[in-house]
Amino acid sequence: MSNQVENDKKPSGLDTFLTNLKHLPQSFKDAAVRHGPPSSNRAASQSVFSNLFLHIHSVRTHRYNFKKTFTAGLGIASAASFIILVITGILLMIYYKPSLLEAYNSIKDIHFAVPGGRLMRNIHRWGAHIMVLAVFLHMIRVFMTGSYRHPRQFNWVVGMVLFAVTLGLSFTGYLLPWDQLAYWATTIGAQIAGSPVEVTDALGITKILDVGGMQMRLLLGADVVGEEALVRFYFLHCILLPLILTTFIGVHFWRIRKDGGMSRPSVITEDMLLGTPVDEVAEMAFPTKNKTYGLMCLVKGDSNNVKNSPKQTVQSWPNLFNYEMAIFILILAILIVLSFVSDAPLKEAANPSVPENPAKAPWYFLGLQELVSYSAFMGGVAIPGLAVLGLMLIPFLDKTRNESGIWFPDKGEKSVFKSSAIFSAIVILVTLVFTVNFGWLRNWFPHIPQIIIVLVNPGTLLTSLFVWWSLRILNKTGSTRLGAMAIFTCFIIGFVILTYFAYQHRGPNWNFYWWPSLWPAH
Amino acid sequence: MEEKKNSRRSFISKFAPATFWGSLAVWGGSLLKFTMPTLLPQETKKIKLGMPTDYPNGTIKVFEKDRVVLFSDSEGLFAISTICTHLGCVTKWTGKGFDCPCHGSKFDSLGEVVRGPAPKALKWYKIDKLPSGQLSLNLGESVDFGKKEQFYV
Ligand code: HEM
Ligand code: FES
Repeated sequence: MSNQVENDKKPSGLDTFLTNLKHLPQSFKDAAVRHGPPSSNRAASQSVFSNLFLHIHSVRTHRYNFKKTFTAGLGIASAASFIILVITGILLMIYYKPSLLEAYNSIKDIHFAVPGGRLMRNIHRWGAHIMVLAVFLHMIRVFMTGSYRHPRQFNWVVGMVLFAVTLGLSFTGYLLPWDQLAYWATTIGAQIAGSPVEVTDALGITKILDVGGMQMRLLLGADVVGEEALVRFYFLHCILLPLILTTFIGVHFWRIRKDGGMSRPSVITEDMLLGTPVDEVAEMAFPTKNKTYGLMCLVKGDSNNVKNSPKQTVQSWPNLFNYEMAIFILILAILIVLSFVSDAPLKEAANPSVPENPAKAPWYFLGLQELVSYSAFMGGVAIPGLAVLGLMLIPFLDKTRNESGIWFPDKGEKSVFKSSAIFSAIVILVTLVFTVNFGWLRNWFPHIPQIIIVLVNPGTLLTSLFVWWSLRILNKTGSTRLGAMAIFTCFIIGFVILTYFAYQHRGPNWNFYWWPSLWPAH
Repeated sequence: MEEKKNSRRSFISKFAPATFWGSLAVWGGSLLKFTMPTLLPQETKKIKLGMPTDYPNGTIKVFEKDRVVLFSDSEGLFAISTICTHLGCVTKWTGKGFDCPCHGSKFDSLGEVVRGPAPKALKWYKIDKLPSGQLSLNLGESVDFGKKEQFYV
């Protein structure tokens, strides 16, 4: 409000300029953020939907989503580790040189010479472990809470793509240091890609259709792990796979919104919301009837929002963002602590004539490595391929429409979970003890044809037993959900036990040892 | 009249998307083709072995760098690759056979599988006699399992 008297006197150009200059920070802020500080509900809503980065969230969030025992924040934890990995990865790219001569030394430089380099490398390495773990646990959470059910089937499939690409990122990153561990893990991995040759050999058609060889050459750009493989892996790890992952994370988040927000049970009592943020205004602002927003009519099919009163929502700003930032900071803190406690490994430079003994893959591939030690094709291609396909199809084979959003929503799920866990644990342990003590077919019949070993080995035996068990549950209970619960539980228990077994009890020459301290010196 | 018009329209309305998807498919195929390596950078290495007389009956020579072991017995010379046929680790010559450190495959002294997941016997390489009478080990070419070469006569 300028003064009346001064009104006829025009301010000089310089004055205007100086005033503008003085107000520069404020005017810039006003231009960037069009609303006031998020002090009112209205401004808080605007903060969410007028910001590119925040608008993937809805303006209000259901209180049930904050329940720590529901999601355990695992999806956010996966995303947080990915963001940290991208940042540290970009920094590592400044010094890393993807060539046979330089790769190993550049990692050494990063580790020992570059200021903060070791911390950066450690965080990147630990971040990869934590991300795989978080994604894995997140998938278990989504399954166990029945959250893949209609209308979220497609997002479960998107999730499986994220799962596969996450593992692909780990695998391709493993080669880059070009040390002994890297070289031999990649050699084994690439040969696994080439292992369909076992089958084409048995059928005698390798000369005509060498699927395995083609896969391997596509991956390595050659027949052996060398410069071509390093360049391809570098490209996959630093460009293609992160792009794919980012795109699909975008789709994943978009679909969460389009599928009606997160899954939740149809009746939510105040008791179930204990420990979640509260919004008193919501009580008054929203009518008592379970009315939905007008826009919901545009969304096809029924959505969860219809079932739940908007009364149980709170402002996303600041509640949801506090929650997300808390998880981000927690993950970052865990990574920094781990990075100070334990360094990322760097063995001697790659030596193609002497393998690391034992040459162990990173922990999440160790279960597969155990299976591969029975049959390369079955353990490395067929069984994991079937597992991924089976997981992907779960929402289309189990179409029950019961509750979702709570752990073990259907009757009898807990007991099927327990019995399947016990069944699979016993079956796996017996198989492992048996093979360690008595060997397998070739030890008894040295001239047995390879194709029989490919078809009948501890890996295929376990897989068939798991399938048989689940079909039995399916038949007995008549519930596809319980059948899915049985096979999923067997899969998880199998993964955990085989991983532990290969990590702890396999030593040089892949022999059985009780502890690593008993390994012979070599 | 009416019908003819419609069928032309429906032909075009099917033809246009088909062209689009068809050209995409061709393009996609060529992209895949691009990533498939044709120039395989694999040096077909030859090792000079010297004269046959340098390898009397009972000789066993390990070429660690080249991942091959050369044997000489009463039936002739032969060279066995130490690269495991399971997943490509390098086996170790133990004096009696070959042991693989990666998943425990074991091979006998001729390279035949005796234990573990390896699907087939170790590869045997070709040994050539050059015009000079010198022997040369050809790591680019393999021979049938059990083919020993007699070079003395
Ligand atoms: C890079 C990996 C992944 C990221 C960053 C990610 C992120 C997220 C986030 C932030 C949520 C919100 C809820 C929560 O925190 O649990 C979510 C939900 C969901 N995710 Fe993922 N996810 C990933 C992988 C997966 C995988 C492997 C699956 C399963 C195969 C999956 C399936 C789902 C489904 C179905 C939902 C909706 C759950 C519900 O409505 O209750 N996601 N994801
Ligand atoms: S690579 Fe030799 S046993 Fe697996």
